[in-house]
Amino acid sequence: MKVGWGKEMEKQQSKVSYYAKFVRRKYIVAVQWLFSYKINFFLFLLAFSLEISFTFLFWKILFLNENTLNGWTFKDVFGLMLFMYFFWVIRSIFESGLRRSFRLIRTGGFDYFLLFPLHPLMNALFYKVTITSFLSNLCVFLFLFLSYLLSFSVSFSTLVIAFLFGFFGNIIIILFFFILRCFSFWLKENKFLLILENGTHLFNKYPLTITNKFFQFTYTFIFPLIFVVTIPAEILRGNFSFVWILYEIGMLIALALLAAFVWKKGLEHYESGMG
Amino acid sequence: MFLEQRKKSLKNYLLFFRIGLKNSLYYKSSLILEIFFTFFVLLFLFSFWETLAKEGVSFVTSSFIVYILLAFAINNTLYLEWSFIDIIKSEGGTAVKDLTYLLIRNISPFTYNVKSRAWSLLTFTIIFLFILLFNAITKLISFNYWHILPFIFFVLLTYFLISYLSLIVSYFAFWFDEAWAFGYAFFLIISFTSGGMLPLYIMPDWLQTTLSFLPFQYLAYIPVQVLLEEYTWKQYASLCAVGLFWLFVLGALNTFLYKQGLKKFESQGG
Repeated sequence: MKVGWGKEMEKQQSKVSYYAKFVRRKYIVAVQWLFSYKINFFLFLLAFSLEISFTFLFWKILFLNENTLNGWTFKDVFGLMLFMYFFWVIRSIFESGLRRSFRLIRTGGFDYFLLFPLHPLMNALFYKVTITSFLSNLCVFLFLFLSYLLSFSVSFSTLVIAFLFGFFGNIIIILFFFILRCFSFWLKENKFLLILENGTHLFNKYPLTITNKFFQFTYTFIFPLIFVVTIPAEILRGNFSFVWILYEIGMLIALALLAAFVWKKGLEHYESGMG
Repeated sequence: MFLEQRKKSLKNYLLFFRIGLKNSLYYKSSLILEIFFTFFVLLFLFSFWETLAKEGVSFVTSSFIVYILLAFAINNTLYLEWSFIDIIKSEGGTAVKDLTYLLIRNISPFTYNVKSRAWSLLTFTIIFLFILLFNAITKLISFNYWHILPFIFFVLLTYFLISYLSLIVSYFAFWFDEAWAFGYAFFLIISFTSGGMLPLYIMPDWLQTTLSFLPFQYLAYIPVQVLLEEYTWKQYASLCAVGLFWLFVLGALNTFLYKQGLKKFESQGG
């Protein structure tokens, strides 16, 4: 007979497997949907291919006029684009679910999910799982990655370190946006989030180190975007600092705690749309 | 009779425009935050290009920087958006109207679009005034303030062109489930081909020639150039004529696609 911590461990393990089954079911449905609506996948692939094409055209036109821009060459900018798409791949895992869930929260339709035994955060993250954008982003990213490897020489260790930084940088910015989305518990309109997301999209296309000290400070400590694309690209350029590791760990812990706190407070404040 | 109908339509549009504006002012905090973030992005763009200008990059002049700021302001306030897809798909929760609601009340998509995007002209005006003030403080360029009059005309033209384009893109939702992808693809095409990212004069000649046959240059490049450059009356007239021609074409395309889409919508029992 299991007592005390043994029983607690069993309870935790069954909870974890319950959540895992929930997420697996969501993704099975998403894959079935993907195969039913193949055209949508190709439309997404077209959209993202167009995006990267125009971004490259933008930089190509600039580099037609100059060989380097503040020390950045076309190879360095290629690395920047690589991490931009890495960001989109990671982000697209949760983006759809979070956007729709917080829309329900703003319109008062989230009550339905509070009745389930599942933790509301799981419903918020995986309410609507679509792997169409994830897969199409992944295809474009893999194409870019292979092109980069074939066109330029880079050491394996540099590549691994850069992607590790990029991955944790992505987690940081996802947590940051999650905290901002939690304002949906209090604000019924969040158009500012759309402009911030569009801004993120825009900022990620530029090396953030080619700005003045004010913006470098802002993107490091207030809007932690620099570790998503610019710092991994800087690592590929051959620049590295151990302070970056300390910063990423610190930022991750701080934002995770803040996200948990804001979500908890928001849920308490939440009023039913039918109330 | 025809004049009476046109008068009634115009009254309707103005009424919906006022309602849309009132709605946007209701959520003041969201509007203020949105404007604040747009200022921030403008300052970021200024900082980026100014750093390159200081380094001596040849094509980055003061005029170039002002162009980038103005083109961004136009592209990101009067932007292509496809919220009408939600109306067609009836997504978004109980607070969002669906297409049946609009059909019963005889509200055209253009009227709905005028209402839902009324705030964009307000935010553009505020941001434009900020850019003027910023230019006056930093003394980037000196330009002829009389150019603001034709600039306003072309911005309004841009507003209506983008309204029609937004609706045309949204109508893909009648035939495709994830019409969002069309909307996004169009947004990307327009961001680039309108001169929203870079002025068209910096692009290769073949690309400039191709883009001159499309209406997209009226969505950012032409309005900004009208403000920054000196044009003769003949050139103004020519630009107006072509712009109005594209407005007519897109309006006709909008009506045609909506009617075709409604046939499919009604055949499915919508």
